[in-house]
Amino acid sequence: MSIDTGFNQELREKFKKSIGYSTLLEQPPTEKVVVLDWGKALSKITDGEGRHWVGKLYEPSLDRAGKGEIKARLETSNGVAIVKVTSIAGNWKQRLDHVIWVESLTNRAEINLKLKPGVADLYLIPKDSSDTAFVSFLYSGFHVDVSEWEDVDVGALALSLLKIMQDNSHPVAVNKPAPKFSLTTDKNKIKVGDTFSIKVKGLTTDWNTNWIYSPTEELLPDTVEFLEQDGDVLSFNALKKGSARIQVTAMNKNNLLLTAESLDVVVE
Amino acid sequence: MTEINESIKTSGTDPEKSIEAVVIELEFINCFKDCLNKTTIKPPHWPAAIDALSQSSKPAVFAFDNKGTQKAKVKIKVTSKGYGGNGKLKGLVKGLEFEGSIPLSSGEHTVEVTLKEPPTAVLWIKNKISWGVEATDRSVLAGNTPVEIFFVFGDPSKMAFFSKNGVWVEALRFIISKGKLESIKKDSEAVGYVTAACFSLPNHKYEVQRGGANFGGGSRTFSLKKYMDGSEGAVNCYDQTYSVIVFSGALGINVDGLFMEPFGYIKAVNLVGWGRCNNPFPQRKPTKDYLVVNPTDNERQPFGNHMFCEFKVKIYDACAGPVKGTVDRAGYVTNTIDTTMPANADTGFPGTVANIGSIALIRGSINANVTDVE
Repeated sequence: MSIDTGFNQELREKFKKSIGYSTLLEQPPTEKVVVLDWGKALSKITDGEGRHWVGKLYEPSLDRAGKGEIKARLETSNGVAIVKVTSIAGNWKQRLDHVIWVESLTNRAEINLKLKPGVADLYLIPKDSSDTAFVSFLYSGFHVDVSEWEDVDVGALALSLLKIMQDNSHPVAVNKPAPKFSLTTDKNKIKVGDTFSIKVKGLTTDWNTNWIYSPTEELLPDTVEFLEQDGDVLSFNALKKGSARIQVTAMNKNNLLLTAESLDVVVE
Repeated sequence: MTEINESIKTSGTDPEKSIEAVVIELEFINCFKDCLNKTTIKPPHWPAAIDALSQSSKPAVFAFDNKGTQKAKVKIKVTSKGYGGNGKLKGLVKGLEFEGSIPLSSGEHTVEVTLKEPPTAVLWIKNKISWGVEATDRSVLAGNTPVEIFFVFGDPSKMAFFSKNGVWVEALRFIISKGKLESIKKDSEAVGYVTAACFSLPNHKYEVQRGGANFGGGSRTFSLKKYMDGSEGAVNCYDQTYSVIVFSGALGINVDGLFMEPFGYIKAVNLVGWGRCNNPFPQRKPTKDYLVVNPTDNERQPFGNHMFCEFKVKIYDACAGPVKGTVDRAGYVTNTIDTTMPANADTGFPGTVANIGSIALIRGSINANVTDVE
């Protein structure tokens, strides 16, 4: 999902002002890593009000921008909620901008969210009602969106999810972790009009069962075009002379953590 | 993969003469670029894997009508004795007949066949083509080839969002079955059916809290796969506009998106997934009890802006209505936007026809048109 557009810019700017965007940017939260088996976490939750939620998970996915997502349907005796967890690479500003962009795709006259300070890295709740029909929050590299499907207050559920994330967060490792996969190309010399491929090779024992991956299409320069993925082989078209950095993003299906590797090619 | 029936030699008058034939490979030509699981389908179109629903791993997409354009190359092995010259290769499927000239001599031949009378409306074929060879004095069966063929209005890969890998076969299967589009001949009627289908999908309902998009509406990339997955998903008018554009595009119909800002208070119309509504953001519970309120209720909420579709100067709205090509812009504004408003209404409401523009060009350089699907 691109954020390089002025669509609904006015709404967005007004919202940024209302949540103190500039101040938020100046005060980035402490970086941490949440390592959590999301499938397990979302399958059964008891919230702070004692309600038991049972979850059904959908297949995780990766988008063109390299963001990962998993959706779950959580049901309690009071109703149904939908939880969407988006895994975002990038710094604090990029994460913040992602949330603001997503929330600005509205046809309401104003974005119906207000900041609840001091909870999570960013915690947004409805502006226009006393009950909590939805919560949108950022914690570490995750944007968690909890919303009612039937009339049900999801405030306690969202806070319980946040607590689970906090309980499973760790300081950021000082050393860069070993790469999880490698990329190799089938052609050393690429000419305009050529089709070339990049082979993805997993370097972890659980690669085939626990990882999904795709090229980060939104970062591709105009020198190359992604064609298709056939198993572990990604095909590209060389469109123009010049260099191209091709990034492939992989996501662990259990903990939703992202990792990326790049390969530079030159189109002659 | 289904078996090829063994060739059957019919009784002939001359016992010294014999002919057997069996189709080995089938490649549709002049068909539109299509893809499955985001991978462009490469010929041959048979042999191919066939699933339990008779769907092929290598479907083909043609335009209906356009006689003489729907062709195929058939690789066929002929074993004959006493035959020379040419006969006819015929392939029959659901009342449609492919025909071409075939050498009757022994050997492997590649024969071009043409659909004699193409369908005149949208059609989805998931059947076997039964092949036969007609010689001068006898006819023999040449096997069956299971195929999946779509006949649509035009080339879907001309749409920006399907240009790279071709039209998603998954989208064609989805919209033709959900929209009951088979036998539709008129493009405007098809857009109406697409609109109705997108309006009535189970598990999709309007996002009455935030009015937010959940399938990429407004972002230029439509989350087509997620939209079709059948799980619960809230939608807004951007999502619904994108869905009508993309599914109509799959049929080869180029539908425009429109953006209107300011919009205003909707008259009591059906809201996707909810039913009658003149207050799409109720703010009070239970939600369903406050979807229709007194038009002057100060808690009644408007659409700040709205996105919908236009095709051949008629409006299509899969979010509110649904509106299926019965009105133009002026008629849409009259039918949909309420001039009776709460006393606290914003001074900009109600919007007028002058506030409608293309999503390809919103206020100068802003482009919210669909360019990709994922």
